[in-house]
Amino acid sequence: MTKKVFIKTVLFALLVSTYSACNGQTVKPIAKDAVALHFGDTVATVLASPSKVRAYILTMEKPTQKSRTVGGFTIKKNLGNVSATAYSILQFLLQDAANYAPDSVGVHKCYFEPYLAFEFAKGREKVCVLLAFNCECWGVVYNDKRIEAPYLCHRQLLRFAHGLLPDDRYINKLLTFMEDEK
Amino acid sequence: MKAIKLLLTIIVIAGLSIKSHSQTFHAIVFADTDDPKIGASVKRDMEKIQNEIGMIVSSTRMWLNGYYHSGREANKEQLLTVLQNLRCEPEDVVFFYYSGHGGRAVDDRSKYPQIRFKASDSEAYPMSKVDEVIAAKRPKFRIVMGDLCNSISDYLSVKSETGSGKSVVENDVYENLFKNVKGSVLVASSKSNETSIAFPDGGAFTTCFLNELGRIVSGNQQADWKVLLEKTQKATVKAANHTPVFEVNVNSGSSQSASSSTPVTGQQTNNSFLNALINMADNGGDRNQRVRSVQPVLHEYFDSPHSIVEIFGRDGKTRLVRENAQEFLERVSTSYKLINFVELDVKKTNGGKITYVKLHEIYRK
Repeated sequence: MTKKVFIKTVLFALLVSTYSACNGQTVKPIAKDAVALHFGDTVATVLASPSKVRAYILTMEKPTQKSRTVGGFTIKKNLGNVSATAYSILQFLLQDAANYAPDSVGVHKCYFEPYLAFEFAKGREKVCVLLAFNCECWGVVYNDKRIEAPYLCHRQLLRFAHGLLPDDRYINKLLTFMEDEK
Repeated sequence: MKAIKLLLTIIVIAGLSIKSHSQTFHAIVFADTDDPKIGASVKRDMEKIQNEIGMIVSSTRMWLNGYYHSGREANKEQLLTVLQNLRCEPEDVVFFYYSGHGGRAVDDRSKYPQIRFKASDSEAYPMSKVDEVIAAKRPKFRIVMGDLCNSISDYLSVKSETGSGKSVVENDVYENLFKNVKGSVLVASSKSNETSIAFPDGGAFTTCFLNELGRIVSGNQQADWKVLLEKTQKATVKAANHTPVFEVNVNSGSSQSASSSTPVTGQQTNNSFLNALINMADNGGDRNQRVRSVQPVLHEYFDSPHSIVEIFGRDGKTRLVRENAQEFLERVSTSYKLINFVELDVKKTNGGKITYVKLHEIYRK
């Protein structure tokens, strides 16, 4: 095959494949991350690649002089650093758009009482993820501003929490109810 | 002679003001309308329930004692006061309704949740305890109903303590559900470990319950609490994916309405303004007297003839009429088949005179 024929063949092949790819199809925009959509780009960036993640059990008691707070709630127990293997499950659940309840689902008639808090840190930025199992809502606190959203992955979040706290009475009680309903 | 006339007048007025009915319908409604998340939905619940209560008393001709508490007044202290002061006769009916936040403690044994007026644990009060307190008053029939979450909160402790249009009344269904029965009904909008949903137009459970009740009423079907609540349960699961729980311990009285030949009328209440309107409406009063009462009622209750009156439909959100107080009273005094009113909202001056009132009107068929 001569050089000219080869070049023409390659160009023709390229032309055909490009036409096939584009024919009748529009270019799809890249879907925005669910976290960014609901909580903002900065939050999404911090949650996607934190340098450190710490976990806490919370209480709804008002803070005293001695108590510490995270995300605006009083800390009952400091659980320490969370491994990347563990918090990656939470990242996965947060990033899935299917886990966010649409507005049509309505509002739950219970108070937002988070049991667990996860503080994601990246440099100077800190984002706190709150899990309120009593009302099946999660919340994100960034710059002292809290955004709550009902979730649709209650079972998965409970299992995640159980993995971190296998002997926790409250988590086990909730899981028992879930298993009984199956 | 003058003294005798005066004495007779006093006796007649006293006699008129004494309840001449054999049964009282005590309606106790608490609604958390101030909550930033669910307040608007709860307000719709309250409006719809108030309208339904109006229908019930109009149909059954029971005297209404209404205890309606919303916003700041919807709190535990007020609830305890109302329950403590509740006085029942053996033939009375008590209907308790709550819409707002709820929850249960990890170790709560009752399948019914705690009412949560505020986020604080000390402000929570068990629904089962409300039922217990009302039962102790020994009414003939009681209904305790709540539209609230039943999910488990680690923070809560166990408490030892326990229409878009006009309404047109029918006799039999309301009689059979609320008057000709004895016993109790206890119902909560979700089962253990479930949340309850509030939609913009009201709680899912309350909306489903009133829809099913409306279907029975409009179809004049056989009224049965168990069937009604089973249908409500099914509809709530479909609409909002949570399952109401209930107990029905009811002995039905005669299914024949004793009043089928007696015209339905508006019934007196513990609200003197509504009583004045009921007396002015088409409830068998002398027509000339009805017209003559316009000015006295206007001066007694309204700030001015230009005070605003708005009439809303059965759904509590469709405005049917907007008129001034003078026009409203003149219309009521010459109305036909208008028998009762539900007061949904009122604004008054410091002196207690009405500047604005939102009403729902109930008509005889």
